[in-house]
Amino acid sequence: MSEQPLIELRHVYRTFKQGRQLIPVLQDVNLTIAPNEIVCLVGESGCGKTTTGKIIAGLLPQSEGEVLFQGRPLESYRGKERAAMRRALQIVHQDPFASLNPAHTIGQILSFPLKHHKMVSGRAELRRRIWELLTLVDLTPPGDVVNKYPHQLSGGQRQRVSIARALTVQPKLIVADEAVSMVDMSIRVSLLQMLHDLRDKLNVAIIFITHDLALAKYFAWGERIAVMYLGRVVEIGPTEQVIGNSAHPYTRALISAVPEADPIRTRSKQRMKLRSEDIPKLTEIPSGCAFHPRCPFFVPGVCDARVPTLGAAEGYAQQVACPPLTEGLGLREYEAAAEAPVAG
Amino acid sequence: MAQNDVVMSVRDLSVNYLTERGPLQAVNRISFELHQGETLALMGESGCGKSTLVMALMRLLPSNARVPNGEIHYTTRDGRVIDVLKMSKGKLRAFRWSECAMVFQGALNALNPVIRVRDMFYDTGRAHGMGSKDAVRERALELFRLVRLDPERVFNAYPHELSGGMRQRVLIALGLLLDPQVVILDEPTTAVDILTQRTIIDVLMAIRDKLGFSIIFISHDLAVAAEMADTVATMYAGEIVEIGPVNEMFYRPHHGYTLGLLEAIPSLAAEAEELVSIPGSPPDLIEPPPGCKFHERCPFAVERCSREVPPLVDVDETHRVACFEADRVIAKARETIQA
Amino acid sequence: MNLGFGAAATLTGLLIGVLCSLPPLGLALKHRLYRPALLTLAACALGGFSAGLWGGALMLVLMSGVVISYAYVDREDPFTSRASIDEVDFSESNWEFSLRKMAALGRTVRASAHALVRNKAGFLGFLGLVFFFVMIVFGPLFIEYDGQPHYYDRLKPGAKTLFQGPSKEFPLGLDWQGRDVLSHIVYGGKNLIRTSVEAGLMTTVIAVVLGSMAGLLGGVVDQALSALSNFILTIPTFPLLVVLAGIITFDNHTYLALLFAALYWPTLMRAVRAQVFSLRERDYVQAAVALDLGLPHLIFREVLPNMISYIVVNMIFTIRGAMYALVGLVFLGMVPVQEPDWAVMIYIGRTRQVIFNARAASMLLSPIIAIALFQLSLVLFTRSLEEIFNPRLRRGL
Repeated sequence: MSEQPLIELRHVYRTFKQGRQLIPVLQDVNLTIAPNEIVCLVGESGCGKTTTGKIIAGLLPQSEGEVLFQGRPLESYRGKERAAMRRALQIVHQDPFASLNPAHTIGQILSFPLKHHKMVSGRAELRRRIWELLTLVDLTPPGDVVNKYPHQLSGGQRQRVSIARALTVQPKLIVADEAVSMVDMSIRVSLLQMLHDLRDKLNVAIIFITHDLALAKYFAWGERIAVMYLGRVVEIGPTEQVIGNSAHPYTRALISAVPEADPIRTRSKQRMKLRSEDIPKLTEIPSGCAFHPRCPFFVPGVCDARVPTLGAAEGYAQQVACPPLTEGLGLREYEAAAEAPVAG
Repeated sequence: MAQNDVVMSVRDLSVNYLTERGPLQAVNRISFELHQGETLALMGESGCGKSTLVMALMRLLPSNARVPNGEIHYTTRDGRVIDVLKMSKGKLRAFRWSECAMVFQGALNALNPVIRVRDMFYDTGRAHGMGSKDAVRERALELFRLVRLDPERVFNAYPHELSGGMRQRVLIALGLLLDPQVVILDEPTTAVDILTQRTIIDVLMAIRDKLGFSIIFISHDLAVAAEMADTVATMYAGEIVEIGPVNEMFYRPHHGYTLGLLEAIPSLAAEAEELVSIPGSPPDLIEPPPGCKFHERCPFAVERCSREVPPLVDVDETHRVACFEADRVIAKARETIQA
Repeated sequence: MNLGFGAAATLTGLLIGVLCSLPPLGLALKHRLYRPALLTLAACALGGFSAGLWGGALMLVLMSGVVISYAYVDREDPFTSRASIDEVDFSESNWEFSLRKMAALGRTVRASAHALVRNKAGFLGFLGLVFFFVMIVFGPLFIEYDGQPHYYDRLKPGAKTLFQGPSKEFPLGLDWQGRDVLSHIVYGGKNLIRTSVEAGLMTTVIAVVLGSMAGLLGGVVDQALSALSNFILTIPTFPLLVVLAGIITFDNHTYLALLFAALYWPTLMRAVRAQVFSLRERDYVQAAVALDLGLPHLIFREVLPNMISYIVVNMIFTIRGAMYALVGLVFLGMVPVQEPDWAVMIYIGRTRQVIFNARAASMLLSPIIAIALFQLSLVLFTRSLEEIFNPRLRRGL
């Protein structure tokens, strides 16, 4: 990349305290996001994708490592620059019912940031800008919603208001944390298409966090996907590659497990058998590659010995953190996998 | 499927909720039949009445709900036909677990955190006259093996010692404790992870094939319906707008809403896709629009749709649809869906 | 001439009220809004009559809002039109702006009134409070305070004895000095209620300020405040209040209210702190943090509006508690006794052995019933308050 990245995570760690235990939620996460880029973070619950999103949005400090915004660590920003940096990084939350303050009308919700940051001068301009923002997120005619309270809107409409609110401060990056997962499926797509349009119109980058692989694939087609597992990025690369030619056994397991809205295909789909169905607890993360106790391609002495780092693998365009692949051993089915898998 | 193996037959069932603004038609004149060993998926978006419908089947409706009309006929194993809506309280209790069991969504909340799994099974067994503890235990362990849980460990565990997927499977086993003919699953795989969802689907399919019960499950996830169901019913605004065998529904939809849903969900297998979402939002069920309730959002709607309510008519023996413009829908579907 | 609270319950007050009603009344009649016009006249007249210029002015503003909200058609606002952005003129004169703001105020008043009427129990409580208010403000117009003792040789005209039971002339009977109990009920609530309300307000202010600080700032501040509140909570508060009230002799009831507040804030403070903690984690607060809107915005725009219902309801309960505590203090004789006062009536009932005199039941029961009714009205009224302040029940246009 010749351009300077908008956001760069370097060896970011994050731990949370639970009683006396320290829970490592993120471990050695490296990620760059270019201006105007779309990156999908995909993974199951507890993989750290939301924490990553919060750290990028500046809502949560990292425990270790560096987060760079336009080449400088977030902590180094001071005064006006810091304010501008914070405005540049916005977040859209998952729950449309919790993300808008029930005490204010939609017009008020949008006017607060516009007024506070003096993005507009005078009442006429304020109202014009609110009108524009609501039109931008396809809430038309704006007059129908501007005086309503959030609870009078549908989930999809609220999510549009959330996005409009993030846009008030003209951000450079929006973290969309499961932003459509609680919206009815028939209108999900229109929200995603709107986000795409906004990216083109307003030149923002979008980090889209989701647990839904198909949605990630649709949204990030032609862009990049990062797959996370237990606090680490295990595979990252162009969407077409990660989904169509996945490298990491975990990604493959996910893709093979997803049901499809096509009865014949979904019933004849080849399923990957895992050696264990249990997700390890974050307090007891397995040694080496965290996926090795479940991985059907486990290589003893390799996978459980070294913590893998992202690297190139032969035959794959994406980066992957899997020792047998990056070290050129290739994937071979683990012998003991013949035993019947026992859960519990 | 033969006519005589019908387990549950619902006719003309309506459910209203009393609200401050007036009655809300959550379920409106729904009819369907459930056969032995059949898996019926009710799919639709939030607020379409699918949860209300299954609650009505179990007679678990909240106190502000009313059933103005309808019949739910249930055929027991020995061939007696009973009307669920007219059942006495005592009989209803027996019916609820031993004939028709319900597995709730949100496995976290459905299990009491201070009660061991085994006590939950003992209590349920005793309440429904299963006899000795040993009988309950034996049955429970057998069911745990079927749902691929480590029987002894799980049986003696507290709910918090189990993962979300394991709890969901414990609930499935608990639902099957009294060997019901019909199992109702409310969003069985919502809010669980992909790999957990896979396990639950696999376990459910396997145990159904082995024990031969019927399943009614509600899901907003079309993919899960595509994988598990024999029959799929699309619900919109409290009505079944289309019902038919799974392949018919997914490859030859006759209703604008079914087609709309199919066109709105992304798929993993396809290359770059063109998806279209359904414009607008679901109607107000207190003052529903006249005619077909979907006509305001339907790309196929003609003038007639806003006047007359389309009846549910046969496309063929098993496939029924409530749409005046079904011919145009299927023509469009043939273009867009390549099976 | 006193035009403020001094004008209450006088002809001047009524005149002020009617004068205040003229602008909104004229506006209402101009727009042919007869029902709002009638309401306006009634509300303003009552406001002026009961609280002089203050009440009249308040009603003038509120009722103007209500009338404007009826008259001001929002469809005329370019903002709610269906035209395209280029056709809309967003400029707005100050006059239009203030009209719009007044209309918004009016809608809030109307919504609150609807919420008040909708909840039957709450409305009953509201009526009860209105009854006590009317009794305290207007009662003196009709009933003279009977403060001087009447002894055997000069009993009240129409009275046969001291401690007389209820009769036609004296609906609540006579007390130990042959005085009219009804007049003591009418005059005796003012101080007690005012002191309780003061105590409740002060407690709430302390609790909300400290609770929000602990919840929003966290860390050392939170630990220190929590430790302090825990410490106070372990003290048996009422005995301490009794002792302190006995040591420090109060001639001003406001100090008594302050003492109450100083001892009773921890319970509410902990509740407020917990609320702030839970609200702080809400997504919309997080979004406000990401938007960098600043701490004042967080407190006054995001957190407090969602706590008002909670705070107000708890304030009511604190007022209730304060009233009990005050009555208790007086009953035990730990504060200077000053007539007329409901609590003093009970105190005297105890000290003058009224308890053993069946004929004197009314003297003791009347204040007890008055206090109980007032408390009941307060508690019932909280139901309506909950609905009024619940943002989810609000309706925008």
